[in-house]
Amino acid sequence: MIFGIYILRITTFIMLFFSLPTHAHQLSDSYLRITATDENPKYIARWHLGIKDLEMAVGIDKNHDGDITWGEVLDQENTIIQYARSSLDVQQQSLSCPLEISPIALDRLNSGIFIALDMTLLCSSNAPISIRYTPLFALDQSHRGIVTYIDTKGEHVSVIGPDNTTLVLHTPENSTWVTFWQFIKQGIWHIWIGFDHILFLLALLLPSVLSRHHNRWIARTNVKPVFTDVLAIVTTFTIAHSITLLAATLQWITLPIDIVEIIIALSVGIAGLHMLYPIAHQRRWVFAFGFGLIHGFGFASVLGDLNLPSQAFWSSIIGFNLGVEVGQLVIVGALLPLIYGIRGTTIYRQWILPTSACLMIIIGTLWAVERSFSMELINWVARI
Amino acid sequence: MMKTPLTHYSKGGWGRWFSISPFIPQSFTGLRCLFNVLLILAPLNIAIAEPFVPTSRTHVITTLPSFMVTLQRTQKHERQDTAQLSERIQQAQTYLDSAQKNNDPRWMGYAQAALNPWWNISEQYPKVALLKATILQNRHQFPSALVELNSVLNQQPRNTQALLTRAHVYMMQTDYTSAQQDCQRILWLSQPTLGVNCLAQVNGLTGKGLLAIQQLTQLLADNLTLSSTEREEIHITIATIAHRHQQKDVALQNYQKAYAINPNNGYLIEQFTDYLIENNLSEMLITLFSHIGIDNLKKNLHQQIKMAQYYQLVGDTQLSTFKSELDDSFTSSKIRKELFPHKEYALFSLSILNKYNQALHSALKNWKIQQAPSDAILVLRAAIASQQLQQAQSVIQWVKDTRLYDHRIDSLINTIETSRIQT
Repeated sequence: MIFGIYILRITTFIMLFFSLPTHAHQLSDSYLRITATDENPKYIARWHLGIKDLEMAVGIDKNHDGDITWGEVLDQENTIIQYARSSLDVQQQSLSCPLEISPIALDRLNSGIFIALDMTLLCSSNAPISIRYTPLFALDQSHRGIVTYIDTKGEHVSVIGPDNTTLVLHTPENSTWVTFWQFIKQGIWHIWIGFDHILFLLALLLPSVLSRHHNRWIARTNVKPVFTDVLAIVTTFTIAHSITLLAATLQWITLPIDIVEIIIALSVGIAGLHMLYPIAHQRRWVFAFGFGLIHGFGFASVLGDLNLPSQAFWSSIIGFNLGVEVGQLVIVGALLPLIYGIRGTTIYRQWILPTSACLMIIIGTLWAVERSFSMELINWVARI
Repeated sequence: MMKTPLTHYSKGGWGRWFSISPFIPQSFTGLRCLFNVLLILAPLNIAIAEPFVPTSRTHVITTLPSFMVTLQRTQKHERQDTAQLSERIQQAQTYLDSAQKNNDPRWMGYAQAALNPWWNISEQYPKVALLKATILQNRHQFPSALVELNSVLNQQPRNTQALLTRAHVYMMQTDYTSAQQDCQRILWLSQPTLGVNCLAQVNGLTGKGLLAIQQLTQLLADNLTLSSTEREEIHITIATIAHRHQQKDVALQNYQKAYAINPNNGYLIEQFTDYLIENNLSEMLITLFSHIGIDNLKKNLHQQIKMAQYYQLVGDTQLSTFKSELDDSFTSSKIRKELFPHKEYALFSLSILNKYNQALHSALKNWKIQQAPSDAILVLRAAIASQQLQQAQSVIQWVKDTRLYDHRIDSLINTIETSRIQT
């Protein structure tokens, strides 16, 4: 048998064939996120470029030892920035917008380590822009640019490949339903990140599985009074914050947001205090209503920041409020079975409930102090 | 009200709450548990970090694969606008070799870029057409790969490389008659080792697996001068057929021998890890994973899923990290809207996420593209898990038509048929 070089080459090829068909593709992507702003500059951007891609494109590992150090990146900073400039062209009304690129930084995404370039697109107006994106295509035809464009209408993701290097940035016009859905999500999001609202609600909900007899907590024997109690609290809180959310958004009533935030912080502390010394256990819905009015002003300030679209004004407000309710109900739905299950335990009555109350008093007070004096007290205490 | 800028997740909201958590004494586990519930329910935005700047110039950011270092040192990858076709072909071949040696499909895009000026006129250049066919075949674009291969073979009917590639494309499309004809032609072209191995692969898929093992074992014994690459290929063929025939020892020995020759063969690793997981050989699996190395494992979705599957089996906490990284990879592929890895997504949905309907949907999509035994197993497993047994019919019919023997497939079909009788 003759086994020449040709056969060796062929067998290498077979191996290649066999080794690849069932493989998934971990291909090269860069992530460009462009945000339209209401102020100057009109457009800002962050561009994540893969470090291995940049190594292939500009060469960072100059000593060829296989390790890319931060020093080597810094040595090539100008080359990298120049490469970025030459492969991204931003145009507005047929004029190029110069790119102002900040010093480079690193960012770790799940798919690896990236160079992060923060950029200001120096466009003269807020007219629409288009981009021509060409990095790496000459080297790697499977490279893609994942471009996210964000403006007041939302965000839109596009993919740029070697066959379509130009992209006009816009977010599609949303239908009323899409806007409605977006604001529902915003409402849910804001109840989740508005931890003060959740804490206030928790302070009112935690005792609902117990009743008060002779200054002692006793587990409620069946679910009906618990359910009625929770329903009353959630409903009155909802009605109250809906009233003020609407009133403030329509600018019927305006309150200084600093004061509102301090009262919200205090409401958490007071609700915590009421868990320790319940003076009106059966009428916690009154607290929910009273402070709910103030919490509504807080929601309204967030909604104000979201630039309500004039063409879908009502659907946005209703959507946002509905989102807040959904977020709230998820919390109640998750919490209630849990505390109902452990309501009869000594741990719950004598340990979890008072400790939670103390924490709420501490946190509410710290927040109130923070907000009154514009301090970062909680982070400071946590550092200690 | 805490205002949190929408794009700077880490600075407000729950991020702030994390800074409060040190207030809670360790002993108050009940309370911590309550907070944990809330934190789990919250969106996990804290994972989104902000860019950072290392404090030291000597801080190592990443370590490059050795092949990339060699490539950069020789600067073979440099774009040469004036480069001649022959240089570009050489360059593309280097990238394809790299894709194989490093088990990293990213280099396919580099090979395509090297051939870019001739990509759309490949029919005039058989060498370009052949490399293009390999790239297309890797992307599971089998009909387009066949167009290129037919064009090469019309011009060069004795091109063994093109015949072999076409035989394998036919195998993926279950056109075993055409595959056999191409293998036979290779045999006639005085390439016995290649021809016998190629025919054995077809036989292994059409009910003559034991004969194929026997022939290949004999071939190895009779030809001590075979190159290591040839031996590797033959060991892989024997191992995969023996694996299907439940000849555990033969399969293990041959997987080990092939791995000893080339530890970077992705197809081999995929089959070998399947074998080790199926046979509960966890110690060998750990050794294999540690030998491959975590960075190399992460280059390949299939291997990442296998790793996650292993972590799931042993209850390792690293599962969640792998899961989120895999989730991210699939999200990225979805955004790309091209070359979506249906097979891996089906495997991920089935084995890790336990989303059986989703798994079946992807497994069937993959089945339309490629029909190897592992693709059939995926459809059958997903159909059983999602209790949609009728969806497995096309695969059951395929097994009957091809007379393929695979103990895993047989056992899955038995389960389906037993369930049908019972209902």
